[in-house]
Amino acid sequence: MPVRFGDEVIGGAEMVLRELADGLAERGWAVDVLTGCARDHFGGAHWYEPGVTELAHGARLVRFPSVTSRGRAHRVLGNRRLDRGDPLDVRAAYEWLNDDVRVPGLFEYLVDHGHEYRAVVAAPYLYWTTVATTAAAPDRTVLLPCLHDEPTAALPVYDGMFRDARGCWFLTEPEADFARKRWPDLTEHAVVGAGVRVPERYDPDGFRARYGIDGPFVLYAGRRESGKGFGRLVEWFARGAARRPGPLRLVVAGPGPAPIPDAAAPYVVDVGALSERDRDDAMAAARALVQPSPNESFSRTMMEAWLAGTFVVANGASAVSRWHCERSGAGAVYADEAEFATWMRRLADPAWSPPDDAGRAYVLREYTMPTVLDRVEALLDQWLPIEGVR
Amino acid sequence: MSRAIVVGPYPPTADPAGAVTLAEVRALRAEGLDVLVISPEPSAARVDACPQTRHGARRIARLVRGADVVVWVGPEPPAAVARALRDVADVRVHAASPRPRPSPGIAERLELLRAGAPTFVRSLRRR
Repeated sequence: MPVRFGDEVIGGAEMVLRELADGLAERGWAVDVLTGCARDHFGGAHWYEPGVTELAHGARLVRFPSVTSRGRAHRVLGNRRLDRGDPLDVRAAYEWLNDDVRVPGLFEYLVDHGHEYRAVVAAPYLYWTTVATTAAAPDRTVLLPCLHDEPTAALPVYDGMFRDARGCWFLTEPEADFARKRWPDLTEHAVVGAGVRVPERYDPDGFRARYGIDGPFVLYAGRRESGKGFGRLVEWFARGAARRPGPLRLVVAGPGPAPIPDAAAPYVVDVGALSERDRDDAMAAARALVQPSPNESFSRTMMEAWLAGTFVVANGASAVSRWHCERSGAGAVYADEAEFATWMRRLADPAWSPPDDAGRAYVLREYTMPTVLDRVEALLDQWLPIEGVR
Repeated sequence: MSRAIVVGPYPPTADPAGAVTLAEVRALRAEGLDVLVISPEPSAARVDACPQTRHGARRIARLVRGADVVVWVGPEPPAAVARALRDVADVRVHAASPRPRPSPGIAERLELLRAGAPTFVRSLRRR
């Protein structure tokens, strides 16, 4: 039950839901993906056609018309205030929420048919559809909030949802810790994680050849946005490289334009959006993956790097990244620019090698798709047993 | 199929009356009625129209004409709506106090204007 769904949709929560839907359908569950027609939350409410289509793995995709206001003024104003660190009162918070992409037909459908589903999994917490789903079918709704400590999480519009939903699945323990502190009356919850696809093989040399990259590099993979720490990463890397010139480069992969200042251009290689295969190969070719985001609820890219046997250097401001690094023993965190620079110098040293295969072992133990699906099925049996459900 | 109009606060809303409206909608839809929900502000309802404004009241009055059932959740309907309700056979009223809704001050209006609110362009020009 995401707000948006489709091949062009890029987002961690949408990815987790898609894989969950496909995985459960492959295990024989009847799965409906209920969503709107928007491609993104900036506008474009009518990108997809409403209707029903069959998905490749056996799930059914049901799209309802999405609507937005003309001006989006309450949304824009609310976002500006949140960015400034100003609080929104209850009225302003609900105006902000209801100025999101709305899907009234989906709400009506759940009012009529919500009780016919064993569970309605809604994600991520931020969007109107998730709040509305919980209001329409609270006793069937399981939240997959993909939550982290950010100004929107403080808004009162989510209080009822986290209290009234039947349950809540978290991706990591730090995410659950944050939710327990934020909502002391948090509904029943558990940490399920997210399943990660395990590539059959890697071709690091092929990636280097296809993109003309010779020397050692560290990789950034994801959205090139300030909220993900991208700007600061480029700035810190370029400053360090200018101060101590060396062969190490920063390769940045992801959709959309990459804001790279001219001063950083000699040290940064933009390879744009990569195919699944190229992404796997890039992970294997990299000296390390850098995860600069201070706001992560899971960090799939860290898992992909570890599966490829690649070390991870992450922003320690993210409790989730720190937690993964500590548990896996296959990553390190930095607190500031000086520590980041120290790690870059270490990675540039040909004598340095990653500790061992601990990262890959960690992902195979905790986050393969079958492992996560087993946890999900066990929780469905426990929280929403089959009696009385069609 | 019988047509029902339900007017009232609707989720997602901070207004506790939203739960009353939703319960009415559930019951009417379970009975098989064709239900249109009108909420005073944008919500999960298909239509938003504020009964306290002249434009909103007229719109609600237009929509309730010809309905078989009208459920009204909130303070007493304004005159324009009350007139239209006289022709509806089954009118159910759940009296609820309106939530105090302070109108935005000049500073907030200007901020909304800058954020792209077309309605405030009109209201400021009228003054």
